[in-house]
Amino acid sequence: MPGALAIAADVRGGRQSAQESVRDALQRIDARNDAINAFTAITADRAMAAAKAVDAICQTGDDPGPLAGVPFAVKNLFDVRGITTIAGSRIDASNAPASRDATLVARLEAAGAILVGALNMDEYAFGFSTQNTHYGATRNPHDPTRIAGGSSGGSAAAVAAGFVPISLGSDTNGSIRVPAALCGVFGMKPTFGRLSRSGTRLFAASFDHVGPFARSVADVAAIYDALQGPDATDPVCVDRPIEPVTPLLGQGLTGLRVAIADGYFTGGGHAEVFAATEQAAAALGVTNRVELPAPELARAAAMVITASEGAELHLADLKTRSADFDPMTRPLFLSGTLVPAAWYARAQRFRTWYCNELARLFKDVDVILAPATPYPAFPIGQRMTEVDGQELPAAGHLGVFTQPLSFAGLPVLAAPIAGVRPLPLGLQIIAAPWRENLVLRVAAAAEAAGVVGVTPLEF
Amino acid sequence: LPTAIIASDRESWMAQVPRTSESLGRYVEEAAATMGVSIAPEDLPVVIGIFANLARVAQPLMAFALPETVEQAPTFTARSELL
Repeated sequence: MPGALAIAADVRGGRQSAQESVRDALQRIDARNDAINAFTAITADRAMAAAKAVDAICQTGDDPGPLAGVPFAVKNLFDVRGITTIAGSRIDASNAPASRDATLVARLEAAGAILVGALNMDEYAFGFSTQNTHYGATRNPHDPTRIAGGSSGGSAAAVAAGFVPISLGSDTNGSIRVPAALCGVFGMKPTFGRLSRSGTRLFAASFDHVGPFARSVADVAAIYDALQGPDATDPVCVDRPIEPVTPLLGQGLTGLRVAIADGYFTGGGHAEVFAATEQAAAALGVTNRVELPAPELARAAAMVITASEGAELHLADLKTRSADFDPMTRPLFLSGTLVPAAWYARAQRFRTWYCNELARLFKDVDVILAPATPYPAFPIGQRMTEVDGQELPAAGHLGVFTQPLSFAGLPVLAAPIAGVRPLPLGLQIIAAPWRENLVLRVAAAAEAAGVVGVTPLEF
Repeated sequence: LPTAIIASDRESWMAQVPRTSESLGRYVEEAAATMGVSIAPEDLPVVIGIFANLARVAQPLMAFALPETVEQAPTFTARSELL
């Protein structure tokens, strides 16, 4: 299927109507969603009405927006006016429908994009595999017997399967980057506080980020540009002006200090992951290596804070109706209720130390490359995996390389490493806070060099 | 499929249990009671396994020589307007 910018160009140029674009997307979803289980709701009537409105604007000669007629879908923790925000849960399914759209849904629609539905996820975003007991597992379009990753599994799978060219997800510990890597698409987690989370169901507010999925760097940049901007209704969304990245994509690598993450990021996974990461770095001429400061402690602190904040948020339901939680997540939330306060306080103090150390590191390097996951997608239902001779929980270990980065709120793009078959692997492209422009500049250069890119799927 | 997932997930966390001390198991039960959280018998070994994993990773975090002058990452700002 064409990318977002190609669709928008056709709609804006009168070569295709928005209604045709949306109808095509709905037909693809209708034909294949049962096999992938990416969508939990399809907003066909709303989508066709919005498409009609975009076409009407085009006919008057007015500007329909940079993403005119581009179908998109969102993780089902984003508020969508008129439908209930379930956040992967059965508990929230009895809530009233949302009375308004989440800020980012509204911003994409203001840019001309058209919402076609809501997407599957791990319950309350606590998971890396989207093996949701209530709504079924989302299947990986590259191999439907395998997981799509999570918790934004539906968001990644919907883009990988070609249902929609772009989607939105959330990332607390890796929930955009893990599924993007396992499904072979681009997924970006901007700097913490860059994009508004208003109108989304939070999980662990200290780390909750939102961001886009797409099939090209240019599409990621276009969506990201449309999503930026302050929002007083999200207390962590910063009051910064929009800093468009699209005009900067072609600047190349010249003058940038790019390094590969060493130490912690070169072990704790399967050999093929590190080989692919090294090959990608070598193809870009990257030879410098840097070590992040105590990433294993950053991951530990992220786990402590996530468990505590997530459990506190759901404590009332855990006390009164724990049987209604997904059996996949209930024990995780229950264990979070028991975390000693000293662990939490230590984790939040360690976060300050860690961010300071990273700020020192980023004086000597602009962009860091690292693997996104420790292994490719594993079969649905697999419980353990072997890493360095040790049996580890297969889903829980998926965040080993993403958690130390979101812990510091860094902007990161997970990009599919080109030519990796049969199952995709992702490369994390990482920069200092607020330097999304550098992340996407390196990604664009890597894409142009054939180092990263989406492998088309034939259905 | 869901049943298979539940079973496999339980087993993965229960694999942590043999490494768990008796006192940690007691802590889980007592802390849950103090918090007013009821843990079903079939969930208890899984919760203990997950908590044991948290305790394992928290140990070096708590042992890290963090200067006392380092403050928590979230900072409070007094304000008069509504959020």
